[in-house]
Amino acid sequence: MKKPKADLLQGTLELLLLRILRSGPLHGWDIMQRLQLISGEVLSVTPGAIYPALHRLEERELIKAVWGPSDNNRKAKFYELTAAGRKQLDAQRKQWELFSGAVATVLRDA
Amino acid sequence: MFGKLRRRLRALFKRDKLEQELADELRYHLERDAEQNLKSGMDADEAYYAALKSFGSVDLSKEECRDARSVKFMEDLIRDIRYSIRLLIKNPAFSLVALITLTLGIGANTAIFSLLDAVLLKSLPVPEPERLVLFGTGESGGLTDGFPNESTDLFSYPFFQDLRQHNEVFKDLGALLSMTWTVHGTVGAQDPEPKRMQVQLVSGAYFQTLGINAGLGRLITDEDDKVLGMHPVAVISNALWKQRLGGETSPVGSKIIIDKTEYTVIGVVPKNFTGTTVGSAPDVWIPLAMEPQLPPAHWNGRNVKDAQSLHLIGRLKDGVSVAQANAAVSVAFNRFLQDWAGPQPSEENVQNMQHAFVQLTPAGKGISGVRSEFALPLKILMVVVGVVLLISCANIANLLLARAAVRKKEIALRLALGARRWSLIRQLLTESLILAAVAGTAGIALAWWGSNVLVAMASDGPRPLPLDVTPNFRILTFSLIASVVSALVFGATPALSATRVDLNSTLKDGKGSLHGTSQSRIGKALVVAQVALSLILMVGAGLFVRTLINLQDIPTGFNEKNAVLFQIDTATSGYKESQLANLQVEVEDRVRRVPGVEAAAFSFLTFNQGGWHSPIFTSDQTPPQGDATVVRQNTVGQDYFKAMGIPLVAGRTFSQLDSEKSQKVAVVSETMAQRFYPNSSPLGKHFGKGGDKRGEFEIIGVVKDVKYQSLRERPRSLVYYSIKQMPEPVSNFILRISADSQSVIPTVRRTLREVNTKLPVDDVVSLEDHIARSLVQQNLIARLATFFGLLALLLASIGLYGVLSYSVARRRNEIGIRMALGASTYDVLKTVLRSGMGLTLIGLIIGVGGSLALTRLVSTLLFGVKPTDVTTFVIVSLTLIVVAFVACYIPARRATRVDPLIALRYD
Repeated sequence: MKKPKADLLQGTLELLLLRILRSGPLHGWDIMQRLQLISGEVLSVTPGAIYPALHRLEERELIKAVWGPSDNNRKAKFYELTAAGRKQLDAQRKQWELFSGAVATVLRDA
Repeated sequence: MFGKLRRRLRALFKRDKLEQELADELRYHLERDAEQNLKSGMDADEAYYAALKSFGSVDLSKEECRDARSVKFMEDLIRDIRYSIRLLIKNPAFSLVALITLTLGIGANTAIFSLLDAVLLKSLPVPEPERLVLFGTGESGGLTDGFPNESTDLFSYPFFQDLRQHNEVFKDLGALLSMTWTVHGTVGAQDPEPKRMQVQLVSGAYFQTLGINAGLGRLITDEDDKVLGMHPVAVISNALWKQRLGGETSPVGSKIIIDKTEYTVIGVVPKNFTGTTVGSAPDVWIPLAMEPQLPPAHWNGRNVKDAQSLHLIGRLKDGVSVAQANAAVSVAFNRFLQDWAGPQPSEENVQNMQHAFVQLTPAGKGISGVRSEFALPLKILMVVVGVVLLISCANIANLLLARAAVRKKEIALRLALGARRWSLIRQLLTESLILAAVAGTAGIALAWWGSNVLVAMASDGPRPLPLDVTPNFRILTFSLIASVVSALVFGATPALSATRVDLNSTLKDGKGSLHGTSQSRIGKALVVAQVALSLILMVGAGLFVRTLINLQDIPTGFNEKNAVLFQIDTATSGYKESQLANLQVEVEDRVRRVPGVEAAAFSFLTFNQGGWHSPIFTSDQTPPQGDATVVRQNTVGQDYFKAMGIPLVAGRTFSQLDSEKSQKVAVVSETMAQRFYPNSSPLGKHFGKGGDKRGEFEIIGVVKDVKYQSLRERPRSLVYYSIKQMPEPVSNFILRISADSQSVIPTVRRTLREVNTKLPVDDVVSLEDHIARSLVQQNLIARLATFFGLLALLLASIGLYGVLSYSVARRRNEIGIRMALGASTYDVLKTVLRSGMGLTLIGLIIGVGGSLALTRLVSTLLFGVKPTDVTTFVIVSLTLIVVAFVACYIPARRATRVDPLIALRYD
């Protein structure tokens, strides 16, 4: 009873994370929930892969992290987009649209 | 930007905190998951387990998060360093041996390199030194009056002026006297005592050509070098300013009195500038226009075409190549020579002109006679210490190999638990690099001290050659590279071989197998190489030592025992030439009467102080043709032959009756007598120093041949003149003293002071030491080669000892079984000795072959011994065999003490 799942292309996960964080600061667990919610069960990502990706984005200064109280009043690490991250997201989204559009055209017409 | 830096620093130094945060972050996630699972109806354990399961591997995730940090590499490095230091401290014996050998190796290399750097590599501290060229090679110094007939190093002032006026290829052109004068002068007002100083005469454009500015005040310019004798100005060195004028207030305006001339200090050279001649550091620079005022020689070459005494330095115009400049200079030189030879040149000069040329050489590293003398010895020593370092590296590699074998099980375990091989290699290499870093630092300190000792050893006088060997950027870079390369050389093989482990057999067995492993094979190869290399070094050392002994055995012709050489500056004290002779006679007379003094005499030259060559013209004999009429000459006091112990063969030596008013007389050497008068007695014959004065001197005596300029020279034609008849401001004063009268020297000093309080006396040295100084280069290389040869032998025997000890320890079992089965002590001894001496012999054979191939390269430095000298080879080989035998015997002896019962149970 395996469902078809899409492999995440390298870098795509990071693009998705940036997109999710555009609406405001979130902690890791929330991000995970949203990712599953938005993509349904199609994109299979384990939390074990999310955290390294977040740390890599932080290292590149596309997001920054702050410790703060979560909704159930415990300390959690919140991530939010930096200005550089916002720029990166726009650039990558444009590139992605261009790319996927082209692929879609080719697949449709060929 | 700051955020990044802060995060990195945090990552490096607050690692624990970051780890905690990472753990918290992931735990928070798991707990939230678990809470959700609880809500959906699982029990507590189940909820937590499900959360864990859906997360994936927590540890892997953590590791990947850590990898995301940019300082991961640094973190690993710090961890490796900590671990390595712990290991090194845990094995103090190993660490100490490794550190000492490596420190010696790196220190020796750095010290020799410092000297090499000072002599061969260092550029002058001037802008664009590569644009400076020297006329000629700079190997000659002094004054020559012969018509140029080969590659020319020395030039006259008229040529220099001619060239400057017609110059199109040089931005600037400067001249300096090809030597410095040692004078005594008073500096400043406080200290009336004349002090020794080196004076460099330079043309007005000298400093401008170099392109340097004054450290204080101003430097000499063309304006200071216009009218002969009219510019008493001086530029002083930083050292002189500091030592004699306090170095606090500006010295500009201070007075320096040399002889009768008062010079005004106009400036100080830049701090790092010590002149343009390597191995010479002037204290004072004075314009060439003052040359006639400057003692001792009072030369005046201003308008004399054949007074060639200058070195010329040019700075090339932009865009002009050395070849273009050389072509232009050649044209000018040729024109100048044609002008000199006149409209009807003699046939000889036509010949000379065809062979005379000027070669421009790079001057950016300074002018150097020291360079040609020491270049080859220094390069050889560099190779020697390089080999010593290699041998020490081989030793440490062997120690590491042995230790890697001990750690084999640990390494196998770590590999089995998933450690990456690369990270193990990295850790092992870190250990080597730490060793090298510590040894490198200690080595630099050792070298700093050592290179000054080397400079003192390389100096042919009581004062060390002024060579700057303080560690500079180049030297430190060299040591760094030497250290890192050594670490890789001795660390790489053990690290690679230690991590190439067959997991199964190692873990099961626990011990290395009994058969020769690859590690012990490498170890043996290293020992063979060590033996071979140390043999080559020792053969070289042996050849150099024999050369030195051969040179020391050459008879000088004079009696060097019980003779003392004083340097007395009779030139600076303000005497006129007419008074000079009286002063010298008075000094000789007074000192001769000091009890314990047998003879005392001045002389112009005393062995190995350069030469005075010029042609003579005999009156009554067909002279030998061409060059043969050129003879060596010396001017000496009345008792010179007695003082030096030169035996008289025929006639008489100088006496009180030979005065400035009587017939001029000369004493000649035996070789000269035979060469000029093969069939008759030279006594009573006449010769002159010019073609028109053939009757000037009468030969009154013949003395035994002596060495004149060097120990290696053939017997020379040598003429001695009487100093009374040819007064000259000479400074050599030789005393013959009775055997037990070392204490006369203070008395003599007192007597000299009584004659004239201003008579400066500097060096007092025994004649034996004076002669030994002529062998300073051979002495240096023989002593250092021996030292390093023995060091190499010691290191090689430590290597041999180490490999055998290790193999005995590893084979305890086998030895125990053999003994249990009835092998005698002798059998065991023989087995171990055979394997050790086998390695030695292989190394010996390779070493002998290598020596035969290599010693040819040093043949120009040898004297009286062939590069393939059998005696040297045999003695060195025997020495090596004996030492190697001792190194093998100790572990072999230990093997015989193996108790079979204990050895067998031990496993």
